[in-house]
Formats: sequence, C-alpha cells, structure tokens
Amino acid sequence: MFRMLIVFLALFAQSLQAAPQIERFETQNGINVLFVAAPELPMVDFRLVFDAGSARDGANYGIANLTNHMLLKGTQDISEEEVVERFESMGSVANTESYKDMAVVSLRSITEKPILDKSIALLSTLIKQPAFDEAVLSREKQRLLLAFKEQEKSIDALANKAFMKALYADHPYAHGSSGTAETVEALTAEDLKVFYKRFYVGKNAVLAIVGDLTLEQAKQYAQRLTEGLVSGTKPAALNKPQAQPATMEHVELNTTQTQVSLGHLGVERGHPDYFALYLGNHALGGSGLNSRLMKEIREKRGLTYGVYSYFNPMREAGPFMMSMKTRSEKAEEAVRVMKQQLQSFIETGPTEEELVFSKKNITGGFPLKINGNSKVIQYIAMIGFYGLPLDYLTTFNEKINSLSRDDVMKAWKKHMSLDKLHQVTVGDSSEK
Amino acid sequence: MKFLKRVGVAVSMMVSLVAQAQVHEYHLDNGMKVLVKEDHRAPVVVSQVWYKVGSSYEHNGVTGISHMLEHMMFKGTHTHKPGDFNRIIAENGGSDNAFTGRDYTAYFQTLEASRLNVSMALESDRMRNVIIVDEEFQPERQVVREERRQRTDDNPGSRLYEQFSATAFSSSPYHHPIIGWAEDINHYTVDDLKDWYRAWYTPNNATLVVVGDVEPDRVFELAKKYYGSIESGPVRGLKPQREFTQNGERRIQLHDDKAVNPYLLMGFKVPSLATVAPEQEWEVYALEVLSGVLSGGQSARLPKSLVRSDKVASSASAGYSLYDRMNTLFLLDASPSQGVTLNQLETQIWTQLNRLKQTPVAESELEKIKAQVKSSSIFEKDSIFYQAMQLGRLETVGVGWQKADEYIEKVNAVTPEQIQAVAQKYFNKRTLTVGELLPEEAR
Repeated sequence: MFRMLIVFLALFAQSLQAAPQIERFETQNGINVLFVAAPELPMVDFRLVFDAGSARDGANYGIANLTNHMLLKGTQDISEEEVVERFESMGSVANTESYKDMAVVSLRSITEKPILDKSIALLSTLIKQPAFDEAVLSREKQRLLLAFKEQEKSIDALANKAFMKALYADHPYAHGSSGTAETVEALTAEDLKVFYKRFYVGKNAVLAIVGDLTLEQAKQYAQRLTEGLVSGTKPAALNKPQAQPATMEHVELNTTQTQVSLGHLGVERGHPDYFALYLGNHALGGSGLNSRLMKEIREKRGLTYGVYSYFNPMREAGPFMMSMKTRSEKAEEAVRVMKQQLQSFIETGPTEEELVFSKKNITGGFPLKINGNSKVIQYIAMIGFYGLPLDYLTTFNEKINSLSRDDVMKAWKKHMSLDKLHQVTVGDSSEK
Repeated sequence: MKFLKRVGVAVSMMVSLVAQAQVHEYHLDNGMKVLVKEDHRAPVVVSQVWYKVGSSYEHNGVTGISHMLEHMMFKGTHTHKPGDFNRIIAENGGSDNAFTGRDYTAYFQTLEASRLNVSMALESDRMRNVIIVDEEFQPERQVVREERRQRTDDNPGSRLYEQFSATAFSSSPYHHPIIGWAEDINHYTVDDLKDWYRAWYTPNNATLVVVGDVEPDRVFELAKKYYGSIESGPVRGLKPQREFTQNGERRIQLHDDKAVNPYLLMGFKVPSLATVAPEQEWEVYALEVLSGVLSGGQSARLPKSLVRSDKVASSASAGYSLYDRMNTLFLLDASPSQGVTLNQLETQIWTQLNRLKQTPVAESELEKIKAQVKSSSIFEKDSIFYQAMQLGRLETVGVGWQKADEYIEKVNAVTPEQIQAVAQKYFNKRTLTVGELLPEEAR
C-alpha cells in the first residue's frame, strides 16, 4: 500500500560519466538502431518501435492497437499456441504495446546462445508474416468490447477520454488508442493487413538494444530480427494540433470521489522550451510531496491521496495536465485551489529557493534514472524514435543547470494560460 | 493483468525469487539485523527498513492502524519538521516512500550511492523520535480516507476482494483489509497511534536492507553509527490467531451498481513457507509450481483453456503467496466472456482443478516452468529495489532471507506426482471460499 501515488518522478542527472554510451548504426534495410552494452547480467532487451500508434488510425479508431496486438498471434505456419509455447519454454518474454505515437514490439531473453538465437528467429518470423487469423481476431475483439464496457464506468477512462477530446478536437490524438466499440467491431483482418503493410516497414522503425552483447553481436541480431521488413517509406508528418477554446465538462458517475483533470496543450518532444517547462513543473506538481500542489491540497487540506501535474511531450504537442481525485463534495474547492496554484505559478514562477531545490533533485537523481537495463532501453528508444540528439542524456544536467528563474518564467508565460484551460470532472455531482 | 490490478496480490512464478544472492548479514547489539548485498552496476543504493508489523498484527477496532502510522512517520521528529524527510532526500537527488502489507511495514530511500548516510541519519531518527500531534494527524486521516475511496470504495473488484477475504478468514487477522475498515479509520486517536508506534518501532523488531554500489563492511559501520545507539525495547507479544479449520464451502455475492462486468474469486486454504511443517515443505513449492502450471504465462492452462480455447473467460489467473506469514489462500480469479455466467465459469475452473487431481502434469510443462524460473532469476537482478524487497520480506515474515537461495533448487525438485498430491489435498470444497461480483443497474 504505497503512501504516495506518484513515487518515481522524473528525476534526472549528475555524474556525466555515468550516462550510458549509445552506439548508433543502421541495418541493411535502413532501420536506425541504438545500442547500449550492459555486460553485467547475461540478458538482453530489444525494443522495436514503429511510428504506428493510434495517431495513424485514420477513421478506423483502434486499428493501430489491434494490429500491434495481433502481431504475436501466429503466422500461417506457426499457430498462436505454438508461439506462446515456444517463447515461454525458453523463458523469453515477448510483448507488444501501443500508444498514440508508438507501436512497440519487445523481447527480453537471456544471452545463452541457442535461446537468444531461437527467440530472435521466432520474433523475426512473427513481425515478417503475421497471420491476422480471423478466429483469433474475432476473439480478441470480443475481449476488447468487454473492456470498453468496463471503461464506461471507469472514472479514469472517462476522464481521460473527455480530456483528450477537449484538447485535441478532431486531431488524431483526440481518440483513445484502443478505439471505440463501434470502430473496433467494424475492423476486419483485411483492414489490419493493409495497416500492417503500410506502417510496419523499415523506414518507419527504430530499434533499441540494451544488454550483454558486443557491438558486432548487436549488429547481427538487429539484422536478423528485422531482415523480413521491407524498407518502405515514412508516413507523412501529423498535423499540428490547434489550441481549442477553453472548455468545461462534467461526466456523471456514481463514485464517492470526483476526478478532476485540468490542462491544455503543451509542447512536442525536442521543443527548445521543454526543459524550462519541465523544470518549472517540478516545483508546481512534479516532485511528489515536495510540490506546491501536494503541499497545498494534500498536506494542508487533506483533500486527496495524490495530486500532480506533468507535461507529456509527444511527436506533436502533447498535453499539460493537472490531475487529482477528491471526495465529491470537495471537488469545487479542489478545482479552485488547483487553478489558484497554476495562476500564481504562471505569474511569479518558482521561487529562487524552489529552483535550486528542483535542480538539486533533478540533477542529483540522474543515476537513479538509468540504473537498470529496463530503464535505459526506455530512454534510448525514445531518443531514437523522436530523433533526439544522442547526447540527450549526457547533456541533460547541463541544460537543467543552465536555466535561470527568468528562463523558467518566460517559458511558462509563453506557453501557459488559465484562459486556455480545459476542465473535466467525473463523479457524482449531487454530492456538491 | 487483471488479477494484479483488481486484487492487488502480487504473486507469480515470474516474480518470486532472488538467485544465489551474496548477502552479508550483520547484527547490532540492540538486536537490529543488517543485510547488505552488493550490486555495482550503477552508482546507486537502495536502503530499506522493515518492521515486523502490518495489518495481520492488528485487532478489531484499529484495523489499518499500521498503515495510518506509516503516513504519520513523515510528519516530523524532535529534530525534523513535517516535510523535512522528503525534502532532504529529494535535495540529495533521492526518492523515498513506504509501504504497508499484511505482514510488514517498510520504508525506503533510493539515492546516489555516496549519500547512503543521508538516508540512515533520517531513518534512524524516526525509529524512536516521531512526534504525533493532532494537528498533523487530522488532515492525514483525511488523506487516508481518500486513499481508501480511491483504492477500494470506488473499485468494485477491490471491494469484492475485501469482503471475500473477510469471509475466507474468520479467526485469522488476514480477515481485515490492510488499509482498514472505513469505520476504524474514522475513529483512530493520537493515543492509538502513539501506542502502536511505541509497541513495534524498535531496533530489535527491524531489519535494515541495503542493496547497491556499496561495500558491506562500510555499510555496517554506518549502521552502527546511526542505528547502534538506539535502545532496544520490549516488543509486544504476538498472539498466534491461527485460522480455525474450515469445514464447508463459503460463498458471498456482491451486487454492485458500480460494476459493469461480473467477476469471480475462488480461494482454497493452504499453508505458506512460514507455516508448513518442515517435513512437508515440498508441498508449498509444489503449490508454487502448480500456480505456474495454471497461470505462469500465456501458454499456461487457464489462459490457454478458458480464454483462448473454450472462450468462456476474458481473463483468468491463479495466484499463491508462498511468503505469507500465516496460512493463506490459493487464489483463482476470472472474468467471464459475454453471455457466460459465473456459474458456468466456476464449473470450467473446476474442470481444470479436477484434471490436476486426476492426471499428473506433463514433464514438458514442468520444463517450461523451470526455464522461466531460470530466466526470471536473471531478469530480476536488473532491479536493486526488487532484490532488497525479497530479502526484507523473507526476513520479516520469519522464514529468513536464506530461503531465497533455495528457491530454484526447491522448485526444480518438484515432481508431477507432488503437484497431483497437493491438488488432491488442497483443492477441496470444504475449505473453499467463493466471491461473486454481480453488476446491477443503478437505482
């Protein structure tokens, strides 16, 4: 039973030499590969990321997610059952994950040669010729439909859905990445095959590898894993999301708590102001119990178990969001305090003391950010996918340390405004 | 994974061992135990202090008080103001938190390795010097009320699990929820908390676990410096409170207008490593492997048969807490597919259980589990936090951290006949509890 909801916040950076050494190379079919050698444990992680998240759904909401999910469900020659049987008999773990920008295929294996070789061979075959079997698809659609039903009474799902719709209107980021009951029901195996052919191509992929391999071995496994993918072409860039006029929406649900979500468009990955926004947010709502929001709303008033704010930069401008749950009769008070806190932060920024504190926490915590292969691979996959500089991690502390209070205030004044705020509440309004 | 999300019981073959750890054990004169494990992959250290106290140490009327006290441990001491703890750790680039379970309360900090002393200075201070005052307690009680609303009151699956546990366990304190009944949370007093603090927070009731880029003897020196001068205290005797023998099926239903889909929970009374008789120890490892046979991965029997082949469930899993302090439950949970009743689903689960009773599992199924155990033992070393968790937990439930080293060997020794034997012995309707979540239209 954790005391705080948000524990491991974005902590970054000191001791430069501790940053992982990233090797970059390309496979023969043009896939960009980032590799970090981690010889301490006899294991290796692969993370193959396609620009094939739900932003690529078009009108078929949910097709990206379902295509990604079906990738590991067999080929013409290897049944779904055989796939899980083979991976699990080797103790290897293969997975898929789907987001707004990214569609991910991952593998974790020990480096014992026969096991790693067979694991890579199997995964390679799967991503090269997925079956998209009708019967399996139909069953997985049924499971998804049940999950959608569940979401109709899920406080988090409802809030998220309304919030993203308010921020993004008709932009491809607006809809939930698993789609809707209506759109998913209509999807056919043919649709998935078309989507797969278009987006699961070398030019649209980035591969991250972390583990006990030499650079030469990493190159060989990268080649073997991806050799079945055609080179293809990159899809066109997404449209820029346009800021929508401020909105206020309440969704009725018979819960004891009300979820409050407040925010507006933030910035995209790689935006020059991101570091100043991030550093400022650390003081506002990004540092757990040390943040202003937690002190004011949890510690002083006992209104919530957790309140936080964050920027989630994506390929295009991602959301800035403040979020909390409180007993429904206190929802109005909570909204008022959150807005006051945001307002005063935009006006006066962090205090000098807060700025020094945030810098110490962010830069002093750098080693914690990258201790473990599973953490490192997330970073390098992100660096590769969004085309961030390879020295992103090594220069992170410098960038944070170079920012003045004035820089932070300027960025916050430029990007943030109460006038643009979208407000979503979900809960029982009769409790007011 | 629905099971983990809904019920919050972290159990599976994939997460239950530390292989061949080189652990250094030290003892302070005041009775505090210190366990240190080196991991030099990164310049980071995790430090955890585990107390032998949790919800299974509580009696009626003050359920959840261990958890409430955990919150109050951040509210200042004679030398530190409320909020100082988090601030000082954060200024040093660290993160910190705490967690309460049935059998333990633990506090942890993760820091750049050279700053271990910062964590020890603060953590040792609050072992005896916390000040609990009403003005800090009242808002924090509200925070815990919110935590309970969020975790349980607004979550039908959690509420079913809470009521299911209260049904399965009558005389055992596993009866009540870790966070406590809402009514009890509303009625703690400052004196209740002070009493609980004095009773359990002593060095002789605690274990310090340090894993990371450290030198063990140096850690022991630091531990002596910071914890060594704390006086040991009398630890309150713990009544056994063993569960009486259940002799008949128990069944509850929760009609819930917040639920959308039905949901089934089943639990059989079983021993844990801490409670099993030494000569029967093989039984608990057989149960552990059995849970792997049923749900140790996508190719395991429950997802394979119920979800993919027969399509009666949208999810199904099994779980067993090998390392619980008291006798526990072998759990099964499942969500039916559209149009399938809970009754039909239960019948299908029984088909799987009866199959285990009637026919020994195939060698190939065991081989698969052994392969997973082998790779997991490597994968889990990727996290120093996880390694520390394992040591702290085993030590705190009373089986000793050394049991972690035996895990692979014991699991590998399990035979198909032993699995069949424990299935026959424990999958018995007389010790079964069933919980059904039944969605209902809002009135």
